[in-house]
Amino acid sequence: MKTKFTMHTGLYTIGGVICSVQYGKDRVIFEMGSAYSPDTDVYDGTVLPRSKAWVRDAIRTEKIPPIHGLYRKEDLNGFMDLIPAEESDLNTAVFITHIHLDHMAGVGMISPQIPVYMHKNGVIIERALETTGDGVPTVDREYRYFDEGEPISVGEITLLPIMTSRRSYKQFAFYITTPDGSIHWTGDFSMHGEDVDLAIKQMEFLKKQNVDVLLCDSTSFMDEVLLQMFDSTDPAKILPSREIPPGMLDSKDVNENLFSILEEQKGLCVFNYYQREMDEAMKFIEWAKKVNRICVFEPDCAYIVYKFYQIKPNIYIPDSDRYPEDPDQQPEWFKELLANSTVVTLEEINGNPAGYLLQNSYRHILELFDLPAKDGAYLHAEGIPIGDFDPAYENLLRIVKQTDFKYVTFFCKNFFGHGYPPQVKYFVDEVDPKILIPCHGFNPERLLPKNGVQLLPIEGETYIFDQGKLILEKDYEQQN
Amino acid sequence: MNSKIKFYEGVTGDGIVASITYGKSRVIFDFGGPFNPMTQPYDGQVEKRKKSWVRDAIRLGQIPPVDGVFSEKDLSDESNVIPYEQSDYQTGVIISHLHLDHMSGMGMVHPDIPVYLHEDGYKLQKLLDQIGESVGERDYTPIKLYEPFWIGEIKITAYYSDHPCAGSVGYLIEPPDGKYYYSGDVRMHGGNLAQVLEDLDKLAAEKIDVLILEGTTFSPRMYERFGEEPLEPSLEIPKGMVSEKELLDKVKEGLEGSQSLGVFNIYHRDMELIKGLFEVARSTQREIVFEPKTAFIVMNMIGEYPPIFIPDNEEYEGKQAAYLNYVLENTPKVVRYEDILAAPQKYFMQNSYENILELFDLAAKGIDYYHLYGTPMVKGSRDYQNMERVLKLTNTNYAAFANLFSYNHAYPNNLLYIAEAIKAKYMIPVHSTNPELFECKFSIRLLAEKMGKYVLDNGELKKKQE
Repeated sequence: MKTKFTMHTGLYTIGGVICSVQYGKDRVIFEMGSAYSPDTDVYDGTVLPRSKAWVRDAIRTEKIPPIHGLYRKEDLNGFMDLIPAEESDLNTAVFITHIHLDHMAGVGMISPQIPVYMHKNGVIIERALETTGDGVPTVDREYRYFDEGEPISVGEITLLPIMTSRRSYKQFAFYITTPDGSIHWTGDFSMHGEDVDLAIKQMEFLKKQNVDVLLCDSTSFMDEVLLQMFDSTDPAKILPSREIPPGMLDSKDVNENLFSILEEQKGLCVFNYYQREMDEAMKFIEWAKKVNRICVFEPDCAYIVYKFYQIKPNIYIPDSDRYPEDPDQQPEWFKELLANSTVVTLEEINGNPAGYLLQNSYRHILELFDLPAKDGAYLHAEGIPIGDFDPAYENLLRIVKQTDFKYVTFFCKNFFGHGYPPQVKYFVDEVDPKILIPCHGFNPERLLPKNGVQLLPIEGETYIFDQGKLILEKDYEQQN
Repeated sequence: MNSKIKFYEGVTGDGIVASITYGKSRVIFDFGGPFNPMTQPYDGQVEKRKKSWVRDAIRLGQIPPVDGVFSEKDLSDESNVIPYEQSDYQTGVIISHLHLDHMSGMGMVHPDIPVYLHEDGYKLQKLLDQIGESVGERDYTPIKLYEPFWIGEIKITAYYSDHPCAGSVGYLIEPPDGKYYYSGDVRMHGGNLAQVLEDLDKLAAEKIDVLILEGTTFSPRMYERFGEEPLEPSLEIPKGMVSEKELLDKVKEGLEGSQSLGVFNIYHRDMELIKGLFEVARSTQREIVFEPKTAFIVMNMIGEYPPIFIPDNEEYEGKQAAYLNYVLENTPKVVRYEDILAAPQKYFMQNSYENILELFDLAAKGIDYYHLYGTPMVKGSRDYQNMERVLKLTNTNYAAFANLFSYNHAYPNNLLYIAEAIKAKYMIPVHSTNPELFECKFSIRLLAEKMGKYVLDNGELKKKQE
């Protein structure tokens, strides 16, 4: 019996890493995300999602891969002759490193009989999002929790979650062992910011393990990052270094810069952030205190803040059908929020615009028309639409421009959220795996191993792990 | 006292809004927003606001800031638009037809201002209201062809237009000092040229002072087809263009030679085309099948009771809307996936863009997709690209026989024919990207300016200085 490895998706995309590790009838699948590509998303605001065919459509439009024994029979309905979870003899469990959509957008499509593991904090946030209607589309299902350093066995396979970020939802890498050897997935990797010690700890641990296969986040090896740092995309120029490359910034520096932008503002400040990021929500709450402003959230985001931090947030209610005035028509979550929050009115904001730091999501951007814009700033803090790769970004800019709010982007070209190339190279060289699979990036081929071999697996093909090598299953069968 | 005409929107492009006033009587003709799919603010993510929708429409340039039309409650305190409640005009709004660039704002008009629609358009809007295509909660006033009505001192009479939308008309607008004719959208290659010509004779007899004529096809894209040759008025169809009948013949020809499922994507306000598609289905021995919303319109507008196909989405689950119950009670059959897959060559079915993913489950034996003016229509727009992607994923044969121009609007030589037949003293081309290309030897051409005001002074149309 040999360990089988399949990389379903995520080799050449930012996000969407989905892999299977199988030993006998035991199988671990790590991650169930989908690469973020708003420009080609079939659901463009007009095309309606189908109800019964939702999973099949997700497979057809490549949001999730076709995997046997993972989806419900009723959802597959014979599609592609995929074996439904109900009829599979595999013992499968799915693990999610963190709740960014590129790591878990498809998690709701997994049959509820398959255990899905996440960190508890991520589940709290996702459940709150589900309640307000912003969670991932999902069957009615439970989640299981994992925690730092507590190995989980799936038959003869063991998965050890290693914390890589202390952010609110927590972020993990997975160290997986089978009777044949070890496979490690870094998840999103970073070696700068507040959690450097965790990256080093992960590295030191792996060095001791003599890792067979390392799947490593290679996001930063894309053209624009390399050209900015090295004026070249030649991988030979990427020398290993633990340090932040000259001219590039740490998240602490970036935050200090951004805070100083907030300090300078004289009018109302509006911010648009990624609502899954509870640390960001707390950052804005704390920043507001420091500059004598009141931080106010839209109800949907406020509900997550309330659920996650158990605090009573300030809320501003946009002019929308989502928030009926008639209590009989209000959804339960909104009633619960109203009972546990303080409503800030437009009149109050108009009375003292400089006293507020107000969250505004893209869906409610037309609120800007009624908010006091004189000396006001629109702080685009990585909320959707994030950049010009999203067709909606142009619309956002057009609308902000129609108001007197000054558009201020939090995007910083000297900062990259994932590990900088020399740092990633340093990490890889230190771990020195036998097989390196760079992934989660447009140019994985540029991340080279020190002594081992680089493998860019064919997506969807199964490899057999044999004597320290990954061999295509069909070749292996011919050889044996 | 002199009548005055003012152009708010639509002098270069679509989304016509103009007014003719005489003393305190005022007629506003058409009340639509420009068709800008590339810059549509409501992109599927940005939500329409509930109380602020009218203010937002004005701010977003979807409707012009016309004084005395909107309710006080819909305008913000700081707005400099005079609300209806503070206006001393007697106003009426007349709508030429129910294409959105001519009427998307009519639901924003204060409920005490009458909004007139041809009786077929009125009936259609009532149906659209029930299937989620309302443009505002208010009522409208139905009118009939050739039966005059009055807005204050201004007499209005509707004439026939062979535009594909149900209830399309043009309006003769008669203040006491002159005669204006607003054409609405026109064409001469639909199915009813005889009535068009008959009405042209009637209009010629009226001796119109000012003709406000749509000039959509006077665009570089269409006009270049005529090369260097001077444009001559005629009823002919330019080479490479098709009439409605030819278009339907091409669809028929395609279906006759195919064993695949036939699919069509239409704009379900265009009843003439739908009637033609019924004929195509009959002559090719295929069963024509509609989605429930369109079936509701078809049943009530043209008295056909087709089988329906129920798409797989939330709209059709749980508690059913009244229109759906009506359709289910009146359809002879609900066609299922299995029926179509068993004999795709026996069906000719509607597929609207919102339900395009249904093609995934219907494509087993091939699909011939006839794109007949249903959205998305603009090549290069995100939704158009998305449609192309899905069609590719399903190996669908795509066919579109003509662009928007060649179906909905009269060709330049036809427009010239209309202008020369009416022989108005003045002609103002509107609803065109290049109105300067449109000239008529019998009329003085006036290129109106956006927000420009013109006075009819003893038969002379003059620009009014502020």
